[in-house]
Amino acid sequence: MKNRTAFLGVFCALAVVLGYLEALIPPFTGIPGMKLGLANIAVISVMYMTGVKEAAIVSAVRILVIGALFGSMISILYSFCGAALSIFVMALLKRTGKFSIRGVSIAGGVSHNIGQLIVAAAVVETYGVFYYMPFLIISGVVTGLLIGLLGGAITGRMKGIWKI
Amino acid sequence: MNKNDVILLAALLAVGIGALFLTRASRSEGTYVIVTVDGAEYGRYPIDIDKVIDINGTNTLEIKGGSARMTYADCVNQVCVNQSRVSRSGEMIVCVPNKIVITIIGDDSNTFDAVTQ
Repeated sequence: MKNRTAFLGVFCALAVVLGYLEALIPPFTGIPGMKLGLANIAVISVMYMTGVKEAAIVSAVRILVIGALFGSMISILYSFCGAALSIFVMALLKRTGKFSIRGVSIAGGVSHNIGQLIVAAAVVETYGVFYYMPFLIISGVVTGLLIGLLGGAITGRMKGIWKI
Repeated sequence: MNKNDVILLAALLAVGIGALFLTRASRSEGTYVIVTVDGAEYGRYPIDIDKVIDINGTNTLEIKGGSARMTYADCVNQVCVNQSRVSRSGEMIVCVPNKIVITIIGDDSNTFDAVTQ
């Protein structure tokens, strides 16, 4: 437990670097809000190695840092609501004990996109933006699965190296 | 992947793909492009007449060849600029920072105005 701060620092840094990598990828889908969410690899890894509270801290730090570096107030607001809903849903599913890290990550990816859509609807005061919903559910499943697979690989390999 | 993961994945995919087909099937070719700024209508333009529209100097909308696209936005996100063209009724482009909503309506969707208010 002594090196918990260092551990969380490493994963915050990792999340920020992954967010930077993500910002380098040009948007190619033509659908707003659809992206890989690479930074969530760090968040879900922390959730499985230490706990939900720590994952929320890492997530909040990376949103503020990435948002300040590459985004705007609006993009911070988006990420914040998406991340809040997704961490809430992931924590619930994880607690049931019925899902692996992949299932939890899939639910996290979908709920992240839904959270962002709710913000968009609230800001522009139009329910019509939910027309994006089907695309964002499908992309949330795909990216959530990818992130879950990577997160599972990382937590599996980290177990022997870093005792928390 | 355990059994519950697979069920969750299949269920979410089914909802997503099902919703995609439902919404696609109910969309006809659009006839008008409606621009709203902060909830109020800014203008409406026939989709079959090519036109470049300046919206308050913050955004530029291009109507060309029966579809619409945002060509310029003054924000850093550029989410709306990167979105693909819209042409079918119910489709929209949203610029959240400037509170601009571009909606396509068709002959069959006159009720859509009430939703965008």
